[in-house]
Amino acid sequence: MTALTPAPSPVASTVPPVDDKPPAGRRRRGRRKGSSERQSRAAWILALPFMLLFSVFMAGPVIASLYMSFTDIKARDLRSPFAVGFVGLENYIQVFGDERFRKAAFNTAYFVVIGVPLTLGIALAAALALNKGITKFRTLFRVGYYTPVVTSIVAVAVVWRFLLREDVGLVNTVLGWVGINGPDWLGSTTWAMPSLIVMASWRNFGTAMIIFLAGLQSVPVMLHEAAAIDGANSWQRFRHITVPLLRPTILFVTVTTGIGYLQFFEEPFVMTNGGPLDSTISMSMFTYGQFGFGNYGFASATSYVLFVIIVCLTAVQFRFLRSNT
Amino acid sequence: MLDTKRSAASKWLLYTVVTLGFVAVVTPFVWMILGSFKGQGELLRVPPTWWPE
Repeated sequence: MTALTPAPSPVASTVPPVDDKPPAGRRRRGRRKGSSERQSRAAWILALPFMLLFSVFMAGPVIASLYMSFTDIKARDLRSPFAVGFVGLENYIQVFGDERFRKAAFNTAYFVVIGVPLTLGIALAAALALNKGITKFRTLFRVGYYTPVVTSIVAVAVVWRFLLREDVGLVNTVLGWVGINGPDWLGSTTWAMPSLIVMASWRNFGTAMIIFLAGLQSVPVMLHEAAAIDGANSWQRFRHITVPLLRPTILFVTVTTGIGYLQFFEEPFVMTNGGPLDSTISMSMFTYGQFGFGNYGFASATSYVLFVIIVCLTAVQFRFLRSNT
Repeated sequence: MLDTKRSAASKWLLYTVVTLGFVAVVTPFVWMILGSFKGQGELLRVPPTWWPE
């Protein structure tokens, strides 16, 4: 910090004040040039460690993987990474022709299209209930609903694998009480994906709930009171007061949850390993598998496809949910 | 305030739903913590136990 506040320069101090105004303005003007030069030099020096780390460990790999996605680099090329052949868009053509990748893309779309609205719906309902309706044990409920978020995803995924076992799992035991014969959740091509979606919603809705709670507290009570006096029922007040004022919050939560769900990886990795019959393999898992097989160029291409999809989806969400003002 | 207008019945309903949700959310978590006190054999036992022996 000291480098940013240089000592007064000798030039300025030799200029006598010509009127009774304090000389601050004149003095500042007099040394502006040298000072701003010095300040910008100090700023660059202070920013240098970050810039170096960022370019070596963030920008470097990002650009390198973009280049890799246009080459046929494989694990055996690591001894001479610059001697690989440039293949243009061949990797990308191969990606879209890959049956298993299309399956992974479909699964990811399924997960996002069902999972994001489900998570946000549960989160908004919980936030509305905990914001006003519940007065007793409010803290207990808030903490309870937030606990899944603070636990390790791998640990809870293992626990859910136990809960979803066919004959003795807790879920099927509870369903048995009401006379439903539950399926083998994670072993069925039909039910494995819904199970993962429910598990992901269970784990992630707490974050969205906290953000919704913060958004709801900023909705002025007097608007609700005025509408109630005018005869609006609670649904109308929710629809025409709460939702419009929550719009920025909804946008933020939709974008962050959507990005997270497009990259979902741990749930299938721990619970189903992509099976049965690839019915839960995600795009991230597919990419991870291709890196494992040593197809670095191909895997880079799949991760850039996922990146472009995330960018497009986020842009669409901003387009539809930004405020109308 | 608006809350006072809410009837007792709907208040009970709300508390019931929130409590059921609470149980559904916390149960896997409780099972995980109880499981951390069990041995490998007891954790994998069929039918599963709740309280560690």
